[in-house]
Amino acid sequence: MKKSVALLLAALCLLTALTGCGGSKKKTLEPRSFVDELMTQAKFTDSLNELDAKVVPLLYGVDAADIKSAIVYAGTAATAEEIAVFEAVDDAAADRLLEAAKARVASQIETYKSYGPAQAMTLENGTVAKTGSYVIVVICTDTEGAKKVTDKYI
Amino acid sequence: MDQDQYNSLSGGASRPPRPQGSEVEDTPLFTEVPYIPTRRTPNSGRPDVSFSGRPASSGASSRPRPAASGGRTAADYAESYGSYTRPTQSRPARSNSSSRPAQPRVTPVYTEISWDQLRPDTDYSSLGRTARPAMTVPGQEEYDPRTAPRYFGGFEQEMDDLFYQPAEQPAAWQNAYQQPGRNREQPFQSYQTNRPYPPYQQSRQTTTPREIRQNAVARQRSGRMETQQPRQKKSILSLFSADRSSELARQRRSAASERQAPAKRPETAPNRNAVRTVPAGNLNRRVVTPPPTPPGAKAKPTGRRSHRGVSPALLMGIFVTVALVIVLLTKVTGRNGGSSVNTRPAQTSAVVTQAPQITPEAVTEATPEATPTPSPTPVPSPTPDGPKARLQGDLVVPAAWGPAVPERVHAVYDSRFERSIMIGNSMVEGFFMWSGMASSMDFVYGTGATVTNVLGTMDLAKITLNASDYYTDIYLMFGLNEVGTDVNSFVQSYKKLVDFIREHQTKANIYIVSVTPVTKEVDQDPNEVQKMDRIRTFNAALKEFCVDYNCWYLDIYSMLLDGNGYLSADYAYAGDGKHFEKSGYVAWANFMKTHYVDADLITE
Repeated sequence: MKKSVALLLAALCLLTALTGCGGSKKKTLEPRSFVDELMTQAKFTDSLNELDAKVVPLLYGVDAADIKSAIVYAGTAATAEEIAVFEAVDDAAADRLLEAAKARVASQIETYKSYGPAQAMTLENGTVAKTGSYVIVVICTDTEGAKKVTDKYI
Repeated sequence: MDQDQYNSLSGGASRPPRPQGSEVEDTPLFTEVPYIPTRRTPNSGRPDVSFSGRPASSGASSRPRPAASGGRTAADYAESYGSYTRPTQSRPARSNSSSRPAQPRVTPVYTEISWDQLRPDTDYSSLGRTARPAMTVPGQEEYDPRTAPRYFGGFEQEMDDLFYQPAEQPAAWQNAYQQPGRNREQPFQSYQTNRPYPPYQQSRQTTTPREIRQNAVARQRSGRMETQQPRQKKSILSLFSADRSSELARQRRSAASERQAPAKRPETAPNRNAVRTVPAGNLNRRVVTPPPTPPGAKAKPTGRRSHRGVSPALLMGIFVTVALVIVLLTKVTGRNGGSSVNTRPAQTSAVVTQAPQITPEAVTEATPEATPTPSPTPVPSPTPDGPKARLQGDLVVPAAWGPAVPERVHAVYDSRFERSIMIGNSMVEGFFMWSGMASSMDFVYGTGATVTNVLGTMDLAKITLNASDYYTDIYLMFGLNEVGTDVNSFVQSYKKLVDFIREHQTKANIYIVSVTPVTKEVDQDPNEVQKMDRIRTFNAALKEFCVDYNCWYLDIYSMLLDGNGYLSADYAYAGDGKHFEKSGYVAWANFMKTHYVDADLITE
């Protein structure tokens, strides 16, 4: 009797452990679908347009050689809203891209503190993260809506 | 008579070849014909013949002359009408282009029948003469058949003019007379009658068209053909007879009386059994004429008369048809009239078609989206004409030169801005991102940057670290964040910035970009500081500043305005009414590509 009860508890613990592992799995990031999901799920106040690939390195102040591919949607310069997905050529390049992205957001926060406090708050609640070889920057006035989408990938 | 004799007597004129062995062998070549003064022979190239009416005594005349037609000779005519000397003909000089060869002078034995006389249809116009040879009439000078009276009697001319002048058709008469083919077809007849035949015959019409119609209908229905004489040609002399004149007068009187009393019957004794001849199809048919209406009684319309008149139904039909046509025309005209108002050039279209203004911004504004990518974009249209500008090479020189950047006919490539830098506020950031020129020139921008704090807060290392002659064009754009401040301090701050830049970049042309306009919503929002009047004040101060400090004023303000004087909705970002959409930045870039100055162009 004691043996059977012990086996049942062991099986139950095993099932519980496997269930926990399945719940922590993230989606594989696909830049275009990610940006499209953000544009549809989150509410951006500015009219975002995709920047030319030549402008992206200049805007972020990075070496274009570190970028394998990039999708950047920017506003009219009236707001700080922005979406950027960089695919770095390697992990080191991804780290450099991440640092450049954080520097830009920090500069923006400093700029908007005196010019537009609301935009500064938006920048502080934005997302700058690295997942694999991808670096993601999401600055959106609809912070909650943007979080719901980014949490699926990060 | 052999062939040589035949040719010698023929005078060398072109004749058909003499047949060999024919009976013509002994036929005399020349016959004497009576002189008919009404039929003049044109000059055929032979010497003038002085006609005396008597045969000339010559050796050749020993041969008995055959009698002329009718058995009368010229001598007989001379005896009948008395001695008459034929008038000499003054022959004009023949054209050298005539194909007729020179003919030897031959003294004829008898009166010669001209070969041309036998061919009255000869076209003398080929001889280079358009008029017939003048003829000298005894007692008169040069005879002009068109102006002078008739050769044989002015009475005919007078009668002709009196009765047969077609006064109602002068143009047709004249046109027919002037047809060149008329004279060529009947030269002799026109020579005699002074008019070509067809219009002359046309002028003989003495009855009105109404009378003709009435007579035709009467002939057709009553069959009284005996009263109608067949139309035939009459001689000219017969037309001028007294009988003819009286007959014409009688016809006119009868026609007038018929018009006055068309239903009136002659008050003669009734002939109930009057037999009339009928046309060939109705031969042997007795036609009984209806009895005439007794005098004093009301004229009863006969069946023929009723048929001849217009029935009321026909009149009603015509009236209804005309009314319908009028109504339709009225409707169509009304419809067209409405559209004609639209076809008139509207005031707006006139504005569109008028000469473009000199302000180059208007040209660029018209094609803001012509080149989304600012790579080689020869977009702007040249507007060199007008009282305010003139074209000097590629440069559109405004009359009031001032500090404004002149317009260029051709746009430049992006590569021209390799040695250019733009320093400014968030507008410059937007220009950097969306104009497509981010990689073509350098940018230093800061969101919320002002000209006051630019020297202390912005990184101007590109200005200071590069060589003093590195940049050729430096664009400065501030003001939208300062329009709520004092304009004088704004200008003084600008002066400090320009001095700083010129200290490090000595060869560059400095462009002061105008303060951009805002939308109407922003202008009317009390919470906003960017008002249009303040913006205009700042721009005016910037113009004066450019004059004083030898800078160029890049007037994109005017380029971005709409018809109401605000930032155009085509360019404005609706979120704030101050920044631009991508289209606005592209238009700005295109404006810069057509508004620039050369490195050695100095403001006066």
